[in-house]
Amino acid sequence: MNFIDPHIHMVSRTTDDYENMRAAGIVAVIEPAFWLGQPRTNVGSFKDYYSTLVGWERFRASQFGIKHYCTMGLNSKEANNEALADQVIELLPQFIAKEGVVAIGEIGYDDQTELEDKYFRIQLELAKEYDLPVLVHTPHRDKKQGTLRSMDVVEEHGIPPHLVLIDHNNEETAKAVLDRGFWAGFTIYPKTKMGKKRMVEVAKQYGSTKVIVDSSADWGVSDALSVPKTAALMLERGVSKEDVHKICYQNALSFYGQSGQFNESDWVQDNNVNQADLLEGNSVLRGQNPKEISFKGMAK
Amino acid sequence: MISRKEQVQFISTIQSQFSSKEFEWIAVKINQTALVENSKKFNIFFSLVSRFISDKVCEWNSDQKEALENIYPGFTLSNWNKQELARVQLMMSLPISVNKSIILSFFETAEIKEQVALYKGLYLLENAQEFTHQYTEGIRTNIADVFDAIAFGNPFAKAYLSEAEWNQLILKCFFMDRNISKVQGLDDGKNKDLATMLQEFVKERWAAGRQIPIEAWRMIEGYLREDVKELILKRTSTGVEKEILDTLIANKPLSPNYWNNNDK
Repeated sequence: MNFIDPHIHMVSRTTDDYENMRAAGIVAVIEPAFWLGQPRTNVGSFKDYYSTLVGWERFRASQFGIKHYCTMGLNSKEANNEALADQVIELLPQFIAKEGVVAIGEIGYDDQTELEDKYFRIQLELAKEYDLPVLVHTPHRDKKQGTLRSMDVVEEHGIPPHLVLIDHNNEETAKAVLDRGFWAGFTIYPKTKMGKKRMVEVAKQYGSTKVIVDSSADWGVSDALSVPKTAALMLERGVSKEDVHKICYQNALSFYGQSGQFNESDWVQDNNVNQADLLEGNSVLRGQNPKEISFKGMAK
Repeated sequence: MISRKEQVQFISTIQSQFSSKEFEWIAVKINQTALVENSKKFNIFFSLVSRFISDKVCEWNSDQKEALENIYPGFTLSNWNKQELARVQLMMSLPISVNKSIILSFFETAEIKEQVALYKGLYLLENAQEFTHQYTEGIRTNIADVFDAIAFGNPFAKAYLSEAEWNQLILKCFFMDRNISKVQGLDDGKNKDLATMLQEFVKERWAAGRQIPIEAWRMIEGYLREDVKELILKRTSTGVEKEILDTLIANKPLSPNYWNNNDK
């Protein structure tokens, strides 16, 4: 079975992760622009980070047979530094216009401050201007209220819910998000956010329509294989293969496909890819013997 | 240095590749970037090419090949797609008074395919030489597609790099496992320093029990050192390597044709 992990921060992950992800069937990933743990203090750090997402990280992924896409945005935590945030907003359009940028995100609320609200709204307008979907990060604290407020603001800006994915849902927020016509993302973390077993129950309760699973794996305790592992548990516990395919592949493709930048044909192929002549360069392989990666096509 | 007249010839030769819709899109954008006051839009237009121009690889007839090779030696050694040809037109459209600052600043944020087009397009600028520092910076990349755009079928290196910079480019090819046969102006770029560095490379690799790419001998030929000659005489080679080493020891020349055929 093939998978898409539509939310993972690969800049923080190792080549072992890439190898394991590809072996587990992940064919494409989306890396939302986020914060780095350490707050940035100047706009150049943002510029180089965004450039990394469309440059080096894209190349690194390709060496392991994984197609890498990203979303561009100013995250909610760093929106609280107003002087810096203004410069970042000025920088963003030239990155938003690049190939393989599939949405504006992840944007939204962290502490739900006035500044977070200001930059959330500015970026919703950017999404309209560039005709891109939106990935909304929901807060860890006061989650339910923050989620409802995020949807209110999106609606206030006249963006239709089919263009918006509300991420990091749990049992408390899922119903409202789906009832209002938004896409609902579920981040499977080993300890916090959602667990695999809870996700199986969510899938059974809400079905597969507009439900998307992701790992949000980053520099903290997280699991780059959350999507395939959750898929395996869902299948084991009686969720149908069709539903698992939708939740762990097709829905992400349908949602981000709305950008015109996320096409199955980019990764569907049926041949053996040798890392040495894939996107080459020995700089990631560092003298290791390249592996033969069997690239099975997307047999339906 | 490319002249305005050559730029116009280049552009007229490639026009047949574009659909009328694509042609129209490019024409509108170029009319804007040609004005100094609008030239800041270059970055966004350059990126938007991916949404409006197909990425189909171009095919050429023999007349077109000849015309393009005359203007851009090595043009036919690499594939060009339509997006790249649209992007180099945007580069050429920028007024010379501002093209350096705009293009150099765009290099800092360019994604992979954009970098490829930028490096392929530099030679076509009337003030190409002013971009030599950026070009040498590009040689430091580890992204293979970008490196290939710099190394293969690109006349910039032979035209503008110093010997030391050129030598770094050729050495880097070997370290990135790239085949040098598509480097434009390769055989004219042989020199003693490069041959010396490559012979150190041979000794290092052989001491570690590793192979060296046979194309290294192409650049060593004519500068073979006694110490390396001794190593060759002690070595048991087979196949193509033996053929090449025997010829080198016998002090016989190997033609560019020999090497090019060996690459196939």
